[in-house]
Order: sequence, then C-alpha cells, then structure tokens
Amino acid sequence: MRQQWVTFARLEWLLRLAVAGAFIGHGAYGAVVAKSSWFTYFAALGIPESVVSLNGLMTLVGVAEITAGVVTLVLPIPALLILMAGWKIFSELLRPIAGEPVWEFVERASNMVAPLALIVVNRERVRLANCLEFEECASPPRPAAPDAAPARRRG
Amino acid sequence: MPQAALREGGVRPAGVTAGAEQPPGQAGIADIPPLYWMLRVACAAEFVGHGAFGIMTKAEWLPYFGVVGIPPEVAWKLMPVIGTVDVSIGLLVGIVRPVRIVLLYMAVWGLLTATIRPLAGEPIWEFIERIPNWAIPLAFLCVRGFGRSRRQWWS
Repeated sequence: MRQQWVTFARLEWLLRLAVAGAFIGHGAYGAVVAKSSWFTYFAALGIPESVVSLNGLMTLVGVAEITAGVVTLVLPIPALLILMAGWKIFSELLRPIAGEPVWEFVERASNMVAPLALIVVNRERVRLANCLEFEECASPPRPAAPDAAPARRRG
Repeated sequence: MPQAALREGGVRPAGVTAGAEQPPGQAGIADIPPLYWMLRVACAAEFVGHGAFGIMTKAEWLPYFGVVGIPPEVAWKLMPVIGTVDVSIGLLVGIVRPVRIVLLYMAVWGLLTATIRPLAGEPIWEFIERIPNWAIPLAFLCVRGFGRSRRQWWS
C-alpha cells in the first residue's frame, strides 16, 4: 500500500506541475506580454478594447491566473481546482466564440482536464495516507476501469 | 496481492483480491474510472485538435519546421502528414485502445512540440503553458502502469 501511495504522490506532483504550467504560462500572456489577441476574447464578451485597457483587465486576469497556478503548485485546494477547471473551460470556449477554429478549444482539453484529474488524485493520495497512518481503509472496492484487468494476472 | 507489497510485508489494499497482481507501483490506480476516462479523453482531444491544424495547414507552424532545418516548401507538404498521424493516434487512444507505447509517444511528442516553440523565437510562456500537453499523456501512462514486457507496452 505504501508503494501505491508513493505512485499517487508522484502522479499528484505531475498534475500539480501541469495545472501550474497551464495557468502560469497562460496568465503571463495577460500580465507580462499583454497579448493583443486577448482583446478579441474580451470583445466576445462585449467588453471593448478601451475598457480593457483603462481598467487593466488583461493584467488583472493574468495575475489571477498566475496566482492560482502558484497556489496549486504549493498546495492544491479542491475548491480552487474546481473553480480553475470551470475558468479554463470558459476561457477556452471564448476562442471559437471569438471566431477561431473550434480545434483551438479541442486541442486544449489537457489544460481543462488537469485540475479535475488533480482533485481525484489528491483525494485518493490523502485516503491512502490515512490508510497507512491508521491501518484501516473505509472505502469500498471500486469497479475496475475497462483495461485494468489485463494488468493483473491470476495466481 | 502486489509483489511489492508482499516484499514490504504490507497490507492488502481494499479492492485487490488475493492472487491478483499488477505492475509494481501502479496497483489500484487504473481502478478509478473517472480519472481513467478524464485522462483518456484529454489525450485523444489534444491530439485530434492539434492534428486538425496540421491537416488544415497553418502558416504559424513554418518557423517550427525551420528550427530543424526543414524549408517551407517541404513543411507545407509535411503538415498534413503530421496532422493525419496526430489525428489517427488521438482516435486510437480515444476510441480503440490506449496502448502504452502510444501514450509514451504522445508524451515525447507533446514535449518536443512544446519545446520547439521557444526555440523558434516565441516566448518561453508558450512552453510553460503547454506542460499539460506532455504531462497528461505521461500521467495516463502512470495510471495504466508502465509495461514490464514488450507485449505489455504494445497493449
């Protein structure tokens, strides 16, 4: 079981890195680079360029994304991760709404899924940690995923 | 019971029946259907979406080919080929079967295509934002378990 926990812990760090990268990298385009294509996404929401520039909305969104990414890298909070997944889906949907091909949304599926996957892995890692600490596991056996069986061999 | 757990004198994890054996370090992870399906869909969509741009051909890709010394006239011809491979792999993983060696290819290809962007003169943020492109296939490979034999890698 300890080996299982170690694997979950490694998986969690991989997903923390993925979520942090997606948000810090994307946020930098707003806060650091001030990418002009972002104006079209604001325009898709009915916010004109003048309002975006005047209120520093691009910087605000960018800093918020970078902050969320750094927080997740340090300490993944489930409630924040749900919010991040929702934000990612919403912000990526703006691309096709702003006139870009729908594939721009489709190819970013990993960015949207990473926070949700991290919630599942984090919860399981914590459960296993409790199992190891208190030597008991309360959760019932789960149904196997479609290809989980081939990895096993009956003894 | 996993051999690793046996060696460590561990306790049988909940849901693992006596005699069942899984690759070391991956015991039980593939038994979480939501995680399995989230990662599978994300991998598939990422490659189908990215491949679609190759099939459509995209002028922004030309500098990436330039990094590895491929001239534009050849690059235009290669784009649909690369796109078709990406879409095929995405459909294979999403619809048919998430073959381990293909997941490894996805992780390596995702890392290469993300790395080539800053090498082509784009900001480093392009690479950072695309960490999920290789981390999610790698996470899915962890969930499925690394193959212990050639046969397992191809299954």
